[in-house]
Amino acid sequence: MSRIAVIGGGIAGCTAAAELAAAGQQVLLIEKEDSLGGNIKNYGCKADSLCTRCNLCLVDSVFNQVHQEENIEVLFDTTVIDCLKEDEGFTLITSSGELEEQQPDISEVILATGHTRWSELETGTPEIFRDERIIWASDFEDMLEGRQDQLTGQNLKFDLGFEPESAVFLQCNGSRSLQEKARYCSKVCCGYNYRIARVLRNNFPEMDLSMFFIDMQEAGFLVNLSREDLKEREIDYYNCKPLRLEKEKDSLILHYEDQQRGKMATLETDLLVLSEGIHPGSNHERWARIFNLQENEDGFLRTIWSPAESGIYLAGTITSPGDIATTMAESKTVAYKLLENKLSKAKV
Amino acid sequence: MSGSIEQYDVAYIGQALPDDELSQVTIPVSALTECRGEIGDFTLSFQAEDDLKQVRASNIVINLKHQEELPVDCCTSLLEAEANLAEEEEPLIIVQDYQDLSAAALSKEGLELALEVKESNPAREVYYFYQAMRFMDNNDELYEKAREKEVIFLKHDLGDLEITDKGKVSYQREDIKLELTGELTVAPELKPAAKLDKLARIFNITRGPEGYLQVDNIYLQPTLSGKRGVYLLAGARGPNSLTYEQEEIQYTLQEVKRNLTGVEEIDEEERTVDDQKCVVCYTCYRLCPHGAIQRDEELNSMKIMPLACQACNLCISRCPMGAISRSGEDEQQPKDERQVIICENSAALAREKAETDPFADTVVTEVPCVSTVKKEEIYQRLANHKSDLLILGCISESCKHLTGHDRCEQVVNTAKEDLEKLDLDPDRVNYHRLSPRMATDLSAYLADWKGEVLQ
Ligand SMILES: Cc1cc2nc3c(=O)[nH]c(=O)nc-3n(C[C@H](O)[C@H](O)[C@H](O)COP(=O)(O)OP(=O)(O)OC[C@H]3O[C@@H](n4cnc5c(N)ncnc54)[C@H](O)[C@@H]3O)c2cc1C
Ligand code: SF4
Ligand code: SF4
Ligand code: SF4
Ligand code: SF4
Repeated sequence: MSRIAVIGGGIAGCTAAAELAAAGQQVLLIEKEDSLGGNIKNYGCKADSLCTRCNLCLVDSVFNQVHQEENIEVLFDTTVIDCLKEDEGFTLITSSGELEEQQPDISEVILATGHTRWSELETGTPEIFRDERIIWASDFEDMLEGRQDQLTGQNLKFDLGFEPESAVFLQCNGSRSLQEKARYCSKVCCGYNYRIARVLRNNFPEMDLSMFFIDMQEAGFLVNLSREDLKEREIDYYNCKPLRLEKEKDSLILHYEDQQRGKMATLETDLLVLSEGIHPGSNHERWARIFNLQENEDGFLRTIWSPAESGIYLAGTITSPGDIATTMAESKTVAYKLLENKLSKAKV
Repeated sequence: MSGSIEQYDVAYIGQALPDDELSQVTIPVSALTECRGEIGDFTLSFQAEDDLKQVRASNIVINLKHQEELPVDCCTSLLEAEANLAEEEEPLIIVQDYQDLSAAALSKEGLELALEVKESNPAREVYYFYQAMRFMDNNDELYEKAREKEVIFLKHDLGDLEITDKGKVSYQREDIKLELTGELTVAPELKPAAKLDKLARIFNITRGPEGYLQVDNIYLQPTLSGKRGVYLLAGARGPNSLTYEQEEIQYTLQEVKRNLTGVEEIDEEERTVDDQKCVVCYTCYRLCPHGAIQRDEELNSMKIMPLACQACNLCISRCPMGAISRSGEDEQQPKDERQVIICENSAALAREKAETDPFADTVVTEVPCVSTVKKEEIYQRLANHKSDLLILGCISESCKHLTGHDRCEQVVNTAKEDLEKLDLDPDRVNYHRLSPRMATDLSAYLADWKGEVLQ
């Protein structure tokens, strides 16, 4: 029996795979790491006393489902290096370490190899940001995963070697700037930094918290950020991007333009948290070549041919930035569409 | 009424979606009077001319426009504005975020309008007042282009923007002073569609805090209603729905089509109401988070609809007559060890993520939702055993069954009060909340708890 190949075992690939398997299809899931989950594998809960809709509650049951489904075979530590078009469907050439193998009888392919975070890119961390008091938002994820404030009642532990009494969140790093190789808005960072700030507020009522936004975004299907949200939680809002960073022994000093008063001003902080944008994933050139796809001007992939005819589908952040919930909804839609196309093909 | 009722794939309340594969019927909100049945076979009653009509539908999509409120008089709504391309002398003034931040869909409308005017008439001044430019689709490109074309963007929270009743706009900032009149277009505030209270009653679903039909809960994303087979769009769904309009429509249509290929029950258990015991008090009807219970007129008893039921067991634990039972209900025989009741959506997932099983030496009962727990069960467990009882539910507002975690906390709190009245130790039963991503916290807490019991 032919199989559907899903390449990439992040939340996009796993959602699609689980959906297809539940509909009785045989699925081959190919993941280059040794476990499922992708970027969000070890992200932590961002609730304060209430759920802040970070969506992580939704994902573990999907990963478990993929592990348990008999219809899904997962190849770990494996990637795809070529795709051969057959009379019916494809044969994929996979590579795992030294080993190259053929995977015949593939009827369709869903490509879901996700994104890269800005901090992972070689061009990522500019010199100015090399300082232990400056961290990436994703550095918070490990601390959040280890949080013990809900049950054990202990405050969040900073894994920093010092205890900050103030923190500033800087939005739009690695996004919306040509120097940073991303002209677009990454759509998720306003939301996740706001959630991290809420966790800090909940754990440290005395901490000084501020956020610098250029443009505050909605944060998914359910959250519409507003200045009132921040005010309510005593998080100071700055509607600009700081112009200069000064590193003093005792603190970091941000210089920004106070446009209301039309003059320069400064803000001191112990800790600077950088948002980090969603950048195109790796291997896009290869995918474009072997699957006949196109890179858009931001480096994300799109199909040239209709998937119904080509049999090649895209799911998740391989196509554009998005949060977990939008990724899951779209991946489900892609899986249903594939099934629908398969069915109408079978009828013909 | 004739015996055979017309059957459709989908019934739209409000506007139909463009799709030529599904058989469909459209019913206006004002005409709808009743909905019975469940996914795969809903029966809708509505007023058509002078008749009461009925149709059957496998799915229901509630698709209604937002109500719009303009924050100032004397202006056009951004959602209705047509680009005026005549050789206009007066400036075009676009305002978004006048009070609250507008949704990204409104930024898109504003940018498109500004560009269209600038492209046909580059000399015309276009002012764009905003607090935050919001991005979706290609808004970032439009924004860049608009700036190239010299649309004047001004963040109005960084100064004082005032719009008079007569449509005069004044803006002041340290370095800028503007007095403008012109063609004024303002982003409306989006409010829930009209008559949603009526729909909430008819479909027996709870409304969210702002009055939309969707409760603000991650499990309902993007367009689910809590009741299987009933989908919510646009002004029925939420304030951000215009931003995700295309995704939401696509998702909903695909879900509807998938449902048509067959829907299965959520679990294998059978939940039944004993019609001899049921006194039709409507407790279960009101509490069911999934609108899965209806009155059986013939038996004069409540009835659980098996496909609609999402297997949380809340109704069973709350029926005052003990009239509802489930086939899988097993008498737990916990040994004299610590007893824990955990929810499969949070603690059970955290348990799997932990390096070593935090529940070793513990009698664990995994439930679909902590609302399964009855007060009597708490007493029984405490009476039969010396050990304490710990119940672990989900973080506030992240319950898959919407209200289950809060209902359980209420039960635990009343149990504690009762214990106190009887001079028994209320701390023998404990309720805590966690997310699936809190394995560390869970392990540490149980290690401590273990210590306490040993003492
Ligand atoms: C700092 C940060 C914080 C975030 N916080 C949140 C949040 O709180 N809430 C939220 O909803 N969203 C959040 N997001 C967004 C979230 O990370 C994404 O929506 C999600 O990870 C997208 O999943 P994906 O499956 O598309 O991609 P990925 O997670 O990137 O998964 C891709 C998978 O494909 C595999 N892969 C890659 N290349 C190959 C190859 N060549 N062969 C085989 N396999 C391959 C990878 O190993 C990986 O497993 C955040 C993003 C960032 C950057
Ligand atoms: S904040 Fe995220 S992980 Fe925590 S309860 Fe809410 S959705 Fe779940
Ligand atoms: S989501 Fe916010 S922080 Fe991220 S790029 Fe967009 S505007 Fe900037
Ligand atoms: S709660 Fe019990 S008695 Fe009351 S209506 Fe429901 S089944 Fe009948
Ligand atoms: S078990 Fe839950 S979903 Fe099912 S009928 Fe009872 S309350 Fe409703």
